Amino acid sequence: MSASVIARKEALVAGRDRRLRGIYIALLLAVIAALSVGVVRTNTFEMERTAAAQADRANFDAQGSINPHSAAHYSKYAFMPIPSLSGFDPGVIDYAGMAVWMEGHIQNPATFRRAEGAGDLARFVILSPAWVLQYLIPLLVVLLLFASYAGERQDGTLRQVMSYGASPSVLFIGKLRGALSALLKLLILLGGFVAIAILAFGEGAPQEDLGIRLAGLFVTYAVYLFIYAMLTIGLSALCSSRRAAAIALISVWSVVTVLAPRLGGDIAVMRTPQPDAFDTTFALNAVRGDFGTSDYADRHREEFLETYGVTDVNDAPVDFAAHRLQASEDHANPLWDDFYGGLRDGYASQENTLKVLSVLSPTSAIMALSSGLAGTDRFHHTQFVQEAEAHRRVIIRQMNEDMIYNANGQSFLYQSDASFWPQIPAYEGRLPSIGTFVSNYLVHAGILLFWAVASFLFARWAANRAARLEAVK
Amino acid sequence: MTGALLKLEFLRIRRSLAAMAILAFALIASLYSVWSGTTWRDAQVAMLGNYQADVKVQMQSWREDLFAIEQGTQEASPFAARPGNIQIPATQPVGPLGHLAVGSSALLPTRATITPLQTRMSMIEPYEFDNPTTLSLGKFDLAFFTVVVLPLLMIALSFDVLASDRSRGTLKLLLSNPISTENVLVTRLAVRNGLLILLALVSVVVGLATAGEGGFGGHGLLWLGTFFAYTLFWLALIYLAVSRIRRSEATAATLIGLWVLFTLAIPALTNSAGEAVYPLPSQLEYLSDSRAAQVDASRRTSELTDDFLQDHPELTVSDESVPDFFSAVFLANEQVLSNTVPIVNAFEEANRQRSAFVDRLQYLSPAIIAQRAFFRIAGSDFDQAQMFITQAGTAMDDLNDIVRPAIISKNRLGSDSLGAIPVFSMELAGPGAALRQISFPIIFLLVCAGVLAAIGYARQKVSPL
Repeated sequence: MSASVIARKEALVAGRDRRLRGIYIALLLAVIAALSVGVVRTNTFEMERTAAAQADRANFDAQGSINPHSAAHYSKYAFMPIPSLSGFDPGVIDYAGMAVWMEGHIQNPATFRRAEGAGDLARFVILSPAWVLQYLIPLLVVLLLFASYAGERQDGTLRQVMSYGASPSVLFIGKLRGALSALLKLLILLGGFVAIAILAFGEGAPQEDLGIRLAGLFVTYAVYLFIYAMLTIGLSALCSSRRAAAIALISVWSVVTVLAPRLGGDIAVMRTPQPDAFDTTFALNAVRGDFGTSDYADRHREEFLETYGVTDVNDAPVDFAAHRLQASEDHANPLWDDFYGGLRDGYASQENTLKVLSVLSPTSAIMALSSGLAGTDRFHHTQFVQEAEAHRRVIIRQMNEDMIYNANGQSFLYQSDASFWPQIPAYEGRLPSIGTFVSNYLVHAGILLFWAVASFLFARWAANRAARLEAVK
Repeated sequence: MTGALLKLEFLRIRRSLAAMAILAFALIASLYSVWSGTTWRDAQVAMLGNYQADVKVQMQSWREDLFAIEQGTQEASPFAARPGNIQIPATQPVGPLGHLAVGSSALLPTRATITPLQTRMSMIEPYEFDNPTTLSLGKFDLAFFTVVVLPLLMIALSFDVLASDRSRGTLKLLLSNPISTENVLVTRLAVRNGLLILLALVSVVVGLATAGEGGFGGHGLLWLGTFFAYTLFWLALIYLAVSRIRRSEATAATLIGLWVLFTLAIPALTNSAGEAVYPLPSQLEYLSDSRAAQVDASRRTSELTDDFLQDHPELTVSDESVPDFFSAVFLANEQVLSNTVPIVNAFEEANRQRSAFVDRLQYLSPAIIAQRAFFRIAGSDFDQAQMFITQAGTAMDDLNDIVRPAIISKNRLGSDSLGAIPVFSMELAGPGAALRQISFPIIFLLVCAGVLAAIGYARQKVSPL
């Protein structure tokens, strides 16, 4: 008896199960529904972002004749571009601020988190194709394969198959091929749906490497479902009855998929608490006021006099007050880098805990990889925040320099002409390529591969053991 | 015979490694959830306390300046003790059982500085410093344990309540005694789930004990009522499933399917439906409109202030014109407020509609009913957070009413008027209000549990397993 005969028989048995067919169709419909919701959501978010960016431009340009520093306080907003793939996996999009106020003197945190308006139900889950693939499709895999060995052992057919001359390895390969063929068909179908929906209907911000990201998602989810298939075959082979296999597998699914990610997040926060909101605001205000409280202001005055070779600031060819404003920005910039760097270190520490815990749960690893490939994880958000900060520094300098060179000693009474504001560039957010962050995902990818290899070896060992046990009965 | 059956069942549980593991997990996970919630609450209380203390120190200094100016013992800085500098700390207190259901409190602002120099938008200082990754994963609190994990453990302990005997061939032997299958079924379900629920109750009691005052009062009773109603629902559902389905793997698959449906799929679909049917006005649109109002008000400020820089009065305002500056900024803020009233109203109306929509759809899932009830009892639901923002805004209006004459007339308040400055104290909804909100959904759960149990019982009578 060859492996292909066994694989065909597996497919035939699965195809005959009407209940399984029903679940299969229900999950396909769930993915389609989730995809529709996700694409519509993404398109709406991106439309809102574009409208907000246009309104921000119009508001800024409509300030009329005012002092540039007044305009620097009003300033502009940077809005995070939403990738089309957020329709597949929204990642942290709902929990990360979508807008950064690029105000003078201060690097504000990203604000306007969508989850804040979503009400209590947001604390359950947000329907997305990624969620269906991470949580529900593994359950389908379990239902498809839990009886693969255990059912045959219980019915006595495994011994029968062995008596036809099928070796344990042929039997395993046959069952493996049957399982992989079913999964591959499912994945190709789902991948097709996702690709068509994203490419044809997605109106998110363009991702230059969309093809690579889609391919990466396909491969990653293929590995994830392979792991579940191997765990299911392995545990099924260890159990002597369908009942025992069902209990074991549903327990594993519940712990690995439902509990571990949530518990992991909680443990990560217990180990590295979230920043204390009051202390952080206090520290933020301290950075903001540091220029005034340190002796930097006095030193700047001396340097200014020396640079321009004058003894009175009013004799200099540039505006002293405006020069001091820019000096205070230059003074604060590294302090902001330290301040937000410290916050990011805390995030990294939490994420390291999650990485370690994902050794116990491939679902945690796939969540990180999936949102990374979709461009909706914390790293992509941080990139947006850092770009917005770089832009803030450019436009604040531009406004300060207008005052430095044109105020002619009028300082804060100087007013820029209304024609100046359109010259201040808007933040044109471009989505980064996945290559920018690839090093952040290596550990998760390694953990997923480790799970794939380990689960394959486990399944092979358990299957061979089960076949040998039946053969000697 | 029932006594012997009970003893046998306890013995079986003691000897089953899987059952003992499930019970141990239930105890450890539920106690962990209480500990995790308590840690979060203590940090939150400390943060709010530090904030209030900080504002109190600033206000004490402000008062001392005012007394000194009135008594003429101090050369008055033109900026000192101005009514525009009054600050009132507004905080949303952690609810009496907030540590058992963190809810929206981990996400939404819980403090605001009420002062005449700020607008409703700027009264909330930056607070979005949490890691979005861990924030999106949610909190493993007692509400999560009860709503999501506990039913799963109940299913794991109960789905093979008769099938294990049947597969070993001991069921016939057992039924040869003067005992019915119904009796075996009910006794076993009661013992297995009773133990599990008892262990979960230990954590609930620990949670209530760590709640301080009120833990064992009305809020505690409501929590316990919701807990029992929810677990009864699942117990009845399990009873119905094991009464109707003979094969244990089919029972397990059916129950897990229902669990996925009730705790994951329906809440996700309801959330999406709520978003689709009653979309909130775009926050970014609100931002744009507010900023447009701000430009408009700034123009007015500019006219009113002779081009003072609002953010740098110390640089642009001469000593004698400080009162004019405060007056102008105050008037400009009122302008922003009046310009943004329609937007704020639209937001509040959309929130109300969506909340009413979810109120109707919650009957599709016991998990939604239980979670909303837990959040409401804990005082950590979305509506409470919205109420805090609304009450802080109203307190700002009240303060502005008190200081308006002094600011507009460019004077300081007299120290005899200090008593009129309000103290912000948010009144959390009491157990009575929570009871009114959750009573019908909880009764609905109990009725569902009764109907499911009755169907299961009838099935057993007609066709015993």
